[in-house]
Amino acid sequence: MSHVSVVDCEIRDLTALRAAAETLGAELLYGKRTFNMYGAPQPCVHAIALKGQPDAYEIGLRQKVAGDDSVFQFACDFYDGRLRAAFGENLEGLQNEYLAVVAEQELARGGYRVEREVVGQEIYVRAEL
Amino acid sequence: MKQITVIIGKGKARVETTGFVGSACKDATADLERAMGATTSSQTTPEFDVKEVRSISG
Repeated sequence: MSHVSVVDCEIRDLTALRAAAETLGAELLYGKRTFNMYGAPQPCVHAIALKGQPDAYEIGLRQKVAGDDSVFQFACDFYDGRLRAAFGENLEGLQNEYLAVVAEQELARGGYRVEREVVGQEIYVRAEL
Repeated sequence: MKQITVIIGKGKARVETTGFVGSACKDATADLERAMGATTSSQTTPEFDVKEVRSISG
C-alpha cells in the first residue's frame, strides 16, 4: 500500500446524486424550492422525494455557502420514519451510494477497470490499471 | 499492477492505493478524493518513499 486517505462525503455532483437516489427508490427534483417535512414546507434549491409516496417527507438540498452551487448539504426531518427506512441513519445510505457512484465514475474516467462489491454494511469499489 | 480501493461506509470513503511508486499514488487519487468530498486524513506508507529506478544502458 502506498497511501491511505479518508474522505468525508460532500455533495458536489447532482448527476451522481440523481443516480444514487434512483438506486434507492427516490428521485431528485431539480429546482424544487421547498421540501416537505413536519409542519410547513421549508426552503431549498433542489429536493429528493421517495417515489410513489407523495405524502412522505422529503430531503432538501441547500447550498453549503449561499449563492455557491459547488457544494450542497442535506436538510430533512426524520419524524415520520420513511426517510430513515429508505436512506439509513443520518442519510448514510444515500451518502454511501453517492460516494460509490462518484468513485466509479472518476476511476472509469481515469481508464481503470472498475468493479463494485457490497461487504456487510460497506461498499467496496475496486479499480485496476 | 496499480490498484485503487475505495471502501465506503457511514458517509465516508477510505481510499487505498497499491502498486504505485513514490508520489504517483497521490497524483492518481487527487481528483477522485476531491470529487468525493473533503479529505480529512492522509497517511503514506513505506512504499511511498521508494524512488523509481531507471536503468540506462549505453
